[in-house]
Amino acid sequence: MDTVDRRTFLKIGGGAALASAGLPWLLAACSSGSGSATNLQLSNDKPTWQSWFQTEGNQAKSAVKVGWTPREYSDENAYQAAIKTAGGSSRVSDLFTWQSSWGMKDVVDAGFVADLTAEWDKEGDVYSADMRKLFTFDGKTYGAPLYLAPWVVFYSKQVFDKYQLQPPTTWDELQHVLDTLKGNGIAPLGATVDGVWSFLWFQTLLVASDPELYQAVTAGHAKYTDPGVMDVMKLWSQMIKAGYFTDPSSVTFSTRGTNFATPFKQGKAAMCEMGTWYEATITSAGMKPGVDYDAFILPSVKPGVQNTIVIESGPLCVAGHGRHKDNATKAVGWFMSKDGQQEWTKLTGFISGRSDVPSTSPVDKKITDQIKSGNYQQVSRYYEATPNDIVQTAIEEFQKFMLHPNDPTSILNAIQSKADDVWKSVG
Amino acid sequence: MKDANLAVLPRTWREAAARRREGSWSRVARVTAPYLYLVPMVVLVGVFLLYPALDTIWVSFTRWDGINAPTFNGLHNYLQFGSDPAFSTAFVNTLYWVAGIMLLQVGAGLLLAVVINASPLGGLFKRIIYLPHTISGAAIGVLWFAIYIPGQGMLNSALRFVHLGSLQHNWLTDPPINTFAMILAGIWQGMGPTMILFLVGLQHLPRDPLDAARMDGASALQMFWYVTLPLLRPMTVVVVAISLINSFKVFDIVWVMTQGGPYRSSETLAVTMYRESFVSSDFGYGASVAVLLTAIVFVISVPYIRSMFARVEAN
Repeated sequence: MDTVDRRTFLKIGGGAALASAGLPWLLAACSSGSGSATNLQLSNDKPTWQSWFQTEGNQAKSAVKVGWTPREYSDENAYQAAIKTAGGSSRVSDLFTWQSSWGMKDVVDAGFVADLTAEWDKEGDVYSADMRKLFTFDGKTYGAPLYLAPWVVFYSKQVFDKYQLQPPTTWDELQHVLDTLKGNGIAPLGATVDGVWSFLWFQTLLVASDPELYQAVTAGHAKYTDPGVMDVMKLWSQMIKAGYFTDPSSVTFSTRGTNFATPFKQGKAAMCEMGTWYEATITSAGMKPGVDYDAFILPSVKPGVQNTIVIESGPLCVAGHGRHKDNATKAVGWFMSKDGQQEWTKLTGFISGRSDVPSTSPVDKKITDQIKSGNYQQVSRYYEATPNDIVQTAIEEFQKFMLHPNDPTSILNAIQSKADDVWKSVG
Repeated sequence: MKDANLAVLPRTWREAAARRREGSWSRVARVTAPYLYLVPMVVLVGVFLLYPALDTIWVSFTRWDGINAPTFNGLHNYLQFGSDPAFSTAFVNTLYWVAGIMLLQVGAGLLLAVVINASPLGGLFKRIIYLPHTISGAAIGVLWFAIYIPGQGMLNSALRFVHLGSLQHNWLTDPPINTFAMILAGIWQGMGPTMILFLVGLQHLPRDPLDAARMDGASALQMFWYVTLPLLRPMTVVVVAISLINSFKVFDIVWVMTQGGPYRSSETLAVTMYRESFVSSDFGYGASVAVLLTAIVFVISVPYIRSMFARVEAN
């Protein structure tokens, strides 16, 4: 019988140990946990919402015995890549946040998102049809509305009071506000080329001018070179040249550089158009809703245009291939319920998609009342309303336009050229 | 043969005798043990370097959105380079970075090394100049972003303070000034290691040629140009090669400061690769940029290093 001396044993043992030491680590690296059956994992790209998600998950656990623990990604692009690469397998988180409309279509088409039509049907008409449309593809509804953010103009009450201005209800009144503020050395409106926000004023002015054209353009039924779109670009150009906007190089709506909330609080800038989620940034800068700031819906450019408001909403999705799909659906069902939404709005201060859950912010409450009383039609935010490839090109071209607002034709031609390619491939 | 007699035999004979005595299990163990030690590194290199590299090459010949299965589209991604203005801009910006780093960072690093080598306070300056390199690229980006932003940015404030307000600029939104501004930040970060490498080279130069030149009456400039610089060539090869490779790969500072914007005007090839893959979900095109970038670095750096070391050896 062969003998193995100590030296040989150590050689083999050491080599084998080294070889095997890496394997569990590799296997761990190649897999990703997706929580347990009653404590699901909720992946998201909203690190600042961590405590809200955790508390809501705990509430869900108490209510329906299935809760969740959030797992944050600080980089949106890395997050999307992670979900897309894991979405086809059971390694994906059972719950994850995403974008609505076109931003959601690719993951729906790939089967990465579970059908929640039954959960929506169970809630009846407390969720608006316009909102449901944002998550509906081929008659099936995917994802629960995580938040509802109408796009409104936040304004500084102190600045408005100082110059005896009222929230405008017509374009002429808005013009008066802009001229008064500009004349007193205040930057009337916030604008930035940072991040993705260059689409903001294109979207706002087109919706305020011709909401049907906005919907047609974003759906690919009208061209960016349409005379109506060209008129909007000319209006935007005039407003830029008139000095109605902040220097787009100076402020941001993110944590990079000087956030608009700083000059807004200092009274150096008076208004900004943004989703109501931006209230969290304004209040964290030390401003009080209804006291230091308020909001109004931008009036239409011309009389006779149907009242329209841009809404933004992101879904909480159940993974189509998740290991605990039934439990995840149960948890999301609770999230959509009145109890779930009451807890969520109490935590976040967001506007609930449910009509029977009131807003906790006085500013949001006023806006939601106005949307109801004014019979506003709701349209999706530009970022989600049209395919991502077109959005990315448009963002770049609008950045160019904001810094050099002289040639709208070349800007629109470039976007239309991209749109032609994309719509051809989409079919 | 008795074991006691083995000691008087040559070593190779003893080893041969020992091999004859060992059993088959021991022989297997002796042969396989070294390979087992290699397994972890082979696995790590294979999984985290070779496989991703080969996969990237494959993906570069496909159209892939990251969700559906990739479809082979031949050279389409590579042919797209010619008609993509964002790629052209990124290519030119990358050349700006390479030129800036090679001329300014390497040049300034050499100059500083020479000055510090002759300075009694060299140790102190060495530490101060090296300090930025200990900060991450992302942190450098945040720091210089605060310097460059218009309005409350430190640079424009400083210009106003010294009554040079007319020189104020939108440093990060006007191309190509935004690229030049970021190159400066990159040089600030990268100059320390460059200087240290040159300093090491200077401190290990042979004294004889320098003394001989001095005795022959060479001026300081002549000594530097005709003696010091040629003697530093091995270290220069290393510094230039490292700087060359790093300058082609620039990503973090650009991504943090401008994300390649506005309107993709400050992208480098590395940023284009990331944006196409993870923002536009065009993984095929992103992979083709990655392959091209690697090929450029390979084609330029390998012949350079080989030829320079050949010259060093010849000398």
